[in-house]
Amino acid sequence: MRLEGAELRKAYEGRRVVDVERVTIESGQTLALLGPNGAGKSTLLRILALLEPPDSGMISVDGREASVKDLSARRRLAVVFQRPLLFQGDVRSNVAYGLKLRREARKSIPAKVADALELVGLTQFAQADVRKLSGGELQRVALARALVLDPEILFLDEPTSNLDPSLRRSFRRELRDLIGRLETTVVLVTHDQGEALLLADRVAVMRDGRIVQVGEPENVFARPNSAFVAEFMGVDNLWSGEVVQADEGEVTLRSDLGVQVEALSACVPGAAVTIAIRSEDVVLGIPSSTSPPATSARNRWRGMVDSVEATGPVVRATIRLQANAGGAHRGAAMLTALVTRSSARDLGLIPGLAVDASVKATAIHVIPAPEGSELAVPDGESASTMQAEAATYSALAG
Amino acid sequence: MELIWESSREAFRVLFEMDPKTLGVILLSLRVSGLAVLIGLVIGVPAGIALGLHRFRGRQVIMAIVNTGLGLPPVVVGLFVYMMLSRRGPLGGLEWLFTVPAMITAQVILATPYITAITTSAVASIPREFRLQALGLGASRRQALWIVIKEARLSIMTAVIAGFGAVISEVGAVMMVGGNIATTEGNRTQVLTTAIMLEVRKGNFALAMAFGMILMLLAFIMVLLLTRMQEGSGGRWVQS
Repeated sequence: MRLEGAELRKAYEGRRVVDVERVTIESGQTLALLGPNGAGKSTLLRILALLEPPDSGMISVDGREASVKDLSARRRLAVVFQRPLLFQGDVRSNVAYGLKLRREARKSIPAKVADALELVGLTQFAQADVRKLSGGELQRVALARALVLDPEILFLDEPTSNLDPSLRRSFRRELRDLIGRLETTVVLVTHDQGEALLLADRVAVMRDGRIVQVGEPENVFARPNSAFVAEFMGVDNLWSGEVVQADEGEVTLRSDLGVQVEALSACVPGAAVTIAIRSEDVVLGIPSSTSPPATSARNRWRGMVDSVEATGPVVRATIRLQANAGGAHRGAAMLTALVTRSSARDLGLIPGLAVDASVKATAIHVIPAPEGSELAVPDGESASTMQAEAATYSALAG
Repeated sequence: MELIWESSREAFRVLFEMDPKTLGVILLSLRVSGLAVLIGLVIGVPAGIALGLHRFRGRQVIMAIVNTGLGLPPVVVGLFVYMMLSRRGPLGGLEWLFTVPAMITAQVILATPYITAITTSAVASIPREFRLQALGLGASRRQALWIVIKEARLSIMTAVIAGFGAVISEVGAVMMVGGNIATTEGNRTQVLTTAIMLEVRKGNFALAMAFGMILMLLAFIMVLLLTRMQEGSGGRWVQS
């Protein structure tokens, strides 16, 4: 089944919620609609799942136009929401619901229900009242209730965000295994990049109702096309700056706060850019009084530890950088570095410690700033060409 | 004190003997209020579903009318129905005044707001996604509406009981449009509440008390049913 949406627009009370030029779901792949709250991803899911009509635009199934009223098209899909939304009664009757709607032969229902419950590991709960189940169990019943229908496209609207963190992780892994095993086509809505990275073949990042970047998750993660996507994908260090010098792809950049950065980019001198540095790509070292160690890292900045924060197995250190020579700056540049607990211990990382932070030029991602505006993303009607282009990317496989 | 004691004893005797006249009064009460609630259901449940599920122009006005209806004094309803059905009223041609249909009409007006209001809030309390979820599992629009009604069914039963409780115990409207006719044959319009009033006026406290007890027994059964239902339903949709 091939589901396609073209020029989909939807507004609630005058506020634009969805504005997507084109989105395509190809059979067998998992597409994640990723974005912050209010980005319009759930609304887009409801439109694609034929639950809600768009204000304008078209949905087509296998090349034929489909609408909310198209029951036979809708019955080839199944949706699981954030909340399990189970019906009163026992687990079995919930899982059988969609089959009964389709007037399945009475005899075949129990076996199908049992199969679906086995898939989600709830066989022993078949006769349990849904009120007696835990949050994780409820969500698995909701999943079984959709899977039993053998949908051609399974829509998952934030399926894990109602679960507590440890449960969420295991449920995610189960989901990944299930999706892999069943070879189902999936549209997943999530605001969690980790979930998108784990589950999706393609990611469409949404903001203000638009798809701003689409691609393989690793690609979107490594090469965000805007400061917004970079920040959303968890890049801690985003500096605005400009290209000072360019030489066959190697560029020298200067951040607005006066930090000189060497990176790879096709940008020309004078171009305004966003410099994206992942905190996990920053290497910290103790400055030595003798000659600095010879390494391949093109960037080495002297600084002082400003704060140290332990989060799980890693330590997040914020470094206040000394401005490079000659940099007229408006304040101190800050750099976040992620190191392991043991590294932090060995270095004796505490606030006030002088450190050298180094980053390879190849680890730095240079994002050209949108033309003609300081804003990362212009509002509604005055979208820049770059964004219009981004919106026309389709979520096509391969 | 002796009056109460004597009357109570007499009341129990009436209850156990249950002569045809007493039985007739009870049955007519149940018939009038039962039919009124049934008709109220036919009007109130669809209205409540529409009000609970959809946001449309004029909804607030209708909600205001319904909520006002919850506080309608039965006497005023009686007066209104009386005027409509009286010989010179617009529905005078029906010749319903002082008949059972007139009483049912008045009680329908009293019961419908209860049923509508409770159904509205019951349906509105079911998450909007619930309908979407049914649709998302392949329900037709009708099937999705049905699952919402099914989920709200306990509350709708509550509406029925509340409506029934409201009308079986009212006296103002049935008295005015029914006239409390106590004949044993033909057009009899005496119900429990109006019978109590008549018997008290006649000084027949024992019989009045017997009717009162039956009324209270009915009320008690209603409350019992309500409680059982409310305990049977839980906050199932609110998870973490």
